[in-house]
Amino acid sequence: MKPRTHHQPGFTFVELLFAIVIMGTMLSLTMVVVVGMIRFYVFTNQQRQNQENGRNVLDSITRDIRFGTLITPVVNDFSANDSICVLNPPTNKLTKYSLASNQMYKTIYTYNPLTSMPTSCNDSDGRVKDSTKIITLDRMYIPAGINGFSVTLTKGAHPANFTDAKAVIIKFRFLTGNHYATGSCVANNIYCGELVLNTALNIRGK
Amino acid sequence: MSTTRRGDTLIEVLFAFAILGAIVGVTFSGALSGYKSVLAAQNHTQATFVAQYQADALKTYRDSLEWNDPTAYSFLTGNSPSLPAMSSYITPPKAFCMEHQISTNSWKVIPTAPTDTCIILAQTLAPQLGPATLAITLTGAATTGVYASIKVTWRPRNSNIDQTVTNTILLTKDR
Repeated sequence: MKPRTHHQPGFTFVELLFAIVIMGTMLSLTMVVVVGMIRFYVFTNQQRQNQENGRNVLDSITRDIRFGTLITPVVNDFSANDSICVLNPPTNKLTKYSLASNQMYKTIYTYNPLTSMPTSCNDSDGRVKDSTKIITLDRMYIPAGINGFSVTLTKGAHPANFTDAKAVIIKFRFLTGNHYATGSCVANNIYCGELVLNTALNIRGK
Repeated sequence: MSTTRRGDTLIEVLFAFAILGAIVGVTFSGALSGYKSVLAAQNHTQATFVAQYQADALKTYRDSLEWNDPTAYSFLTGNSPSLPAMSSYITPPKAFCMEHQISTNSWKVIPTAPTDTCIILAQTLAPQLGPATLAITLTGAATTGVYASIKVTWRPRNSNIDQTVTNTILLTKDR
């Protein structure tokens, strides 16, 4: 057996232990960072998607209102049924937007023929459902009632004399991410985001 | 076994981990940069909606009043303390914002100075922006139409640079 010389050193036991401890620590820290990055990426992606969804929801509704006739809400009745209906007279099509949990439903009905102007979203006389388009709002929590998706029909500057000028104020509030069960984000929770979109639509001038 | 073969030294191991740490750090900063981009986009989205909100509120206000009828409530000349003459906001130029009055369910013109109601309004409409300023300015004349410039300005967190969204619309007598 060849005798071991001092020119062929290996790790000593203490060096080995020391290296393993450092490596373990570094690996742990690296894993924490990597896991955090992945969570961060997933959350950021959800926020981006939800932001687009929220904007698309409002754009879609306001576009339909601009080209059609708003059926409901008449006066602040939106919170009662969480839906909004717009009639497009040339085609006799009625578009109904409604929210439930994390999905928005866009349902299109056709009146054939349109005998009288519908007065509510639930006015089903003589109409046939064309299609229902479901827009899934992924990981988007929509608190119920006025804090979630609300529509207010306003008057002009002088409500007594100038009620023909109207605007619709649409407020859309939603949360993204974790810890949303309470309806609001926990303070300093970077994995929870809240977005409020307010828009007004002048109906008379369109 | 050759005498030239040896294990890694502690310094080499530490150096390798330093490189690994640097790579992870760069990657993490990239993810953080993406997150900041999302926040910036959200702020712009909110500010755009606020500007649109103000523009449509102003249009509704105009539509509810005659353009320049001295015998009635007028958009340009006004006829009541609660319905100010918008011409007085053109000359001299004076900024304002439009606030929805819940009690009367109608719109009201709010001067930006000396009160800070417009700042509070901006915060209410877009809470994620943080402290933001909201100002509408009018230019033009009754004969040609009035340009309304709606400006929303905010400063993102950890930044010294203000961000601005501006929406300009033309108001005319015949819409």
